[in-house]
Amino acid sequence: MDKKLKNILMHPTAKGMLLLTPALVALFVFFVIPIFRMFHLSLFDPHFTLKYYIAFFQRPVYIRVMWITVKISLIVTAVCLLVGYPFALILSRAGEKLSKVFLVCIVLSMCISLLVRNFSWIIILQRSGIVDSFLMKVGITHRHVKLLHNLFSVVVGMAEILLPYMILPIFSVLKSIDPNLPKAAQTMGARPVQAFWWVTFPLSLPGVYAGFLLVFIMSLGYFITPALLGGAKEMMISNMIAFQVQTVLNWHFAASLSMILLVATLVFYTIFNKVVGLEKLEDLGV
Amino acid sequence: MSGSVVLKGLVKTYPGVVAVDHLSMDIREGEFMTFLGASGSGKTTTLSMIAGLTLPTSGEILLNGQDVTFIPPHKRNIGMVFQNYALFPHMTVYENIAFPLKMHKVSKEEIAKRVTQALHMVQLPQHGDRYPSQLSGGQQQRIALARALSFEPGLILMDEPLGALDKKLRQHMQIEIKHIQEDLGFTTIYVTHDQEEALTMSDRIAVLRDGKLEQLGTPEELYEEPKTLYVADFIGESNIFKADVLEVGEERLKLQLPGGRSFYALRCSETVEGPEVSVAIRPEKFRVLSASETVSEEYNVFEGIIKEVIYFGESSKYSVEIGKDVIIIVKQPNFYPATKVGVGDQLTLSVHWRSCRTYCEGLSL
Repeated sequence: MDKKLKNILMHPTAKGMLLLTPALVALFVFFVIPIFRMFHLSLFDPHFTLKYYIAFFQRPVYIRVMWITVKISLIVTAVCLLVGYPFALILSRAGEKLSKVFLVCIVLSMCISLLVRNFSWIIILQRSGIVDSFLMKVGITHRHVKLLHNLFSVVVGMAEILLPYMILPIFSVLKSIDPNLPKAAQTMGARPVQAFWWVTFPLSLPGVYAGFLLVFIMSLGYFITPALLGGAKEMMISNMIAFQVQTVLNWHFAASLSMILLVATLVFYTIFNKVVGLEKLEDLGV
Repeated sequence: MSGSVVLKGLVKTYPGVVAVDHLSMDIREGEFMTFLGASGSGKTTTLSMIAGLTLPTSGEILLNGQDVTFIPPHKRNIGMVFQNYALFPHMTVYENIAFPLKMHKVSKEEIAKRVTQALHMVQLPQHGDRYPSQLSGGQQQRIALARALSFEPGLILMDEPLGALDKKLRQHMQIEIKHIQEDLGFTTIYVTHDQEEALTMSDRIAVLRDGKLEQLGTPEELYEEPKTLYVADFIGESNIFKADVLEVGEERLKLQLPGGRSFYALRCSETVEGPEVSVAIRPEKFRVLSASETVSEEYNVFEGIIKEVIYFGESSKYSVEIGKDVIIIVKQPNFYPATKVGVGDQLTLSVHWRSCRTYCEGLSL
């Protein structure tokens, strides 16, 4: 009996399952259970009720916050894409040493605390800060420019932090493209720009989609940056949740807002997957 | 429609390495030219410079008499087939072949016509809608060829295009490429490290070694009259051994094997220095003599003991010790009735003195 049990446990599949167990347990305890608790919290007070969901849709302010959240996320993602793609492209074509240095810098930047980075932006963007005084000195403007606590500062702060999540997937896909492909295109009469547009760019799209999805979904749930760098108009849904938890102490409503954010995220993910068809691209051997 | 290429003192250096070292040659219109060499001989670098993908350090490249050294690749009108085919994975076969035509601003109707033509030429008319990943290696190779040919460049460059195929398919494709080339008459520069492939396909072969041109000639010239010991050894098989010089004649040398026997060999260089030279003899140039047979003065006669017999089906190879520590390989077709010889037997061999070629330099590999 003992031996039989041992045999079962030593079977390759069983061994694999054993190794998975700690992760599964952690996921269950710290992720699945809290989500169900929250779901429960949003629906029972103490008896079953939908009032916390109805409240969300009845008051235009909440819809507005949701819309602002989506808008800021889209802008941040677009900025990351515009800045990140050229960066990833240069990185993928740089020499091995140079690209290593850049990659280490990117990873290092991710190790620095979010708070430190956000406060740095406050120092840079504040009234009479570096940017403001520079603009006045050069004479571009004679009055102080308001750079902080508005949409601009929130987008800058979030994009700076989320940029690596755009660069890294694009870089890894660009790096995997056979360097002979754009060369072949050039021998066939394509100017370098055309070779990029018709060959390199379409082949890099899986990386763009992955980066887009990562940055957009992370933006949706962003909390610290809008709290520190944003004003009242830049309140995102996470700030609203925090407000409900910490200030109003309405945990039921906070739970329903969280569930709505979760569902919205899943909906975006599904739409994205349908439109782009990530699996289809993989089938092509890209 | 076909193009000519002239290379003038072409040099490419990388930090610490000279990849191509003052290479000069003329490639004629409609010619099938092969760059043959071991890896690191500079053959691919040279091809890449002709395509415009690599800038030469110095030297000139003329295309149809025009200096194109600094012209970017997309303006050279050269078709290229890459080693791994470099088919665009996100485009169908049709789109792949249409790509160069689209870049050359050919009209839609004309593109459709020419792609169909190209697909027929490589015998894959039904495969236009497939993606490259859905094709076998041999089919991908054909599509790469069709794509390089579709915009009718006068010059096609091929970088080991058959390297990834198995032997049977490779031989088949060699002949197919050769037929298409003869039909359409475009100039071809073909890079390979496979000497057999070079011999079968080429009008002329340029043997490259360490970035330098070792010898340029027709397959027959290279095989029958290798100018250097390196070529004698690299192309086909050669028995190479050292022999002492006894007499230096105008055209031939009298040599002596270690162990005594003297023989005549073709003098290959102007000056003969030193007491000994290297001799190279092809294994199939020998003939096994029967006991009573005699041969004319033109032939050298060697005697030796068979050390090993290897049976190849259509022929057999014998290792024969003809002098002290001189073991040569003799290749004989297997006639009927079979000659009954085995290890330890004495063998008498004859070989024409002109088939024994001498070289002053040693073989350093």
